[in-house]
Amino acid sequence: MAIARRKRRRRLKFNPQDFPLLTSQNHTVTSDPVEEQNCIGYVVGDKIRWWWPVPDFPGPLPSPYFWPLSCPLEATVEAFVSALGTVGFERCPPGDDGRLEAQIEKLAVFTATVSEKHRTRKVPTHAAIQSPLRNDKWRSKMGADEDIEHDLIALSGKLYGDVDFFMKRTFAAKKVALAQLKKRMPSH
Amino acid sequence: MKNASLNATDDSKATKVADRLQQEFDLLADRWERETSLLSSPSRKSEHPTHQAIVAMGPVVVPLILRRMKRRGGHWFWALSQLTGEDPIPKTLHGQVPDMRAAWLQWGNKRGYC
Repeated sequence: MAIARRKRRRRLKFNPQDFPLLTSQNHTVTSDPVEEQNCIGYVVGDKIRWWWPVPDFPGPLPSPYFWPLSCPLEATVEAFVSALGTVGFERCPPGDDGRLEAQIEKLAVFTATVSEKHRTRKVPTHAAIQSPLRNDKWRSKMGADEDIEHDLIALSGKLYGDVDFFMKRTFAAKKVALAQLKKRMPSH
Repeated sequence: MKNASLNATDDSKATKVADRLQQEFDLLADRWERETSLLSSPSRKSEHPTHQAIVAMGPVVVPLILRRMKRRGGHWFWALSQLTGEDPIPKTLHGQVPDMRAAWLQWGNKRGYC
């Protein structure tokens, strides 16, 4: 099904109220907009699937989005740690500031706080992956839009909340995970 | 002669209603896509007031959604399932957006919607 592709822009099109810290100086567009993958598919290296847990899909119908069958189908930090764990990522210890390490790939998970009845909880909103060569730069697939390279702080704001924690995997674990992805993990 | 005139008036009214529906849908759909395109969460996309307004328009917008999706893509799966109660996407294609879209367009083709 051929959908007309939009041309690559040099800067992301966004509402400044959603990303008050994102400027033309702290990000660069690095791809055309594509709908095949989202931020989670991008950071795990899955080029063809949109990963997200959707427990509230209408009625009794199953969510058509990909989420590993072995992980809780819920938009919680635990579910995301579990899903990212299926492709070799483990949570970094508290205090890890996401700095570049040799032979290690790191990602940053953003969460926003939502109020529910008598409590608040953190809901994952986005994940960015560390640029392999530059300590201070990260890469993100922005929903259904472009990939960008950016400062990590630049995506904090109303839409994505803030960086909550980091996860990491070795390059060896990445190789194994990418081979597993080709075999197509079962989804919910 | 009189009947022909009445029919022409009815056709004209129906065309106006259809045009107004299309305009209202296009406005809402443009705004929804613009304001949610950077979100990964389908749940958050569907919570947006414009998405809820589109769903509230009822099953009459299903052909409009399918035609727009065919032309421009987009994550209309939630709205389509909510409006039709259908799930034409095989489990093996979950997460594969172009294939998910193709499954819905095939569903729409069979019913003469697009």
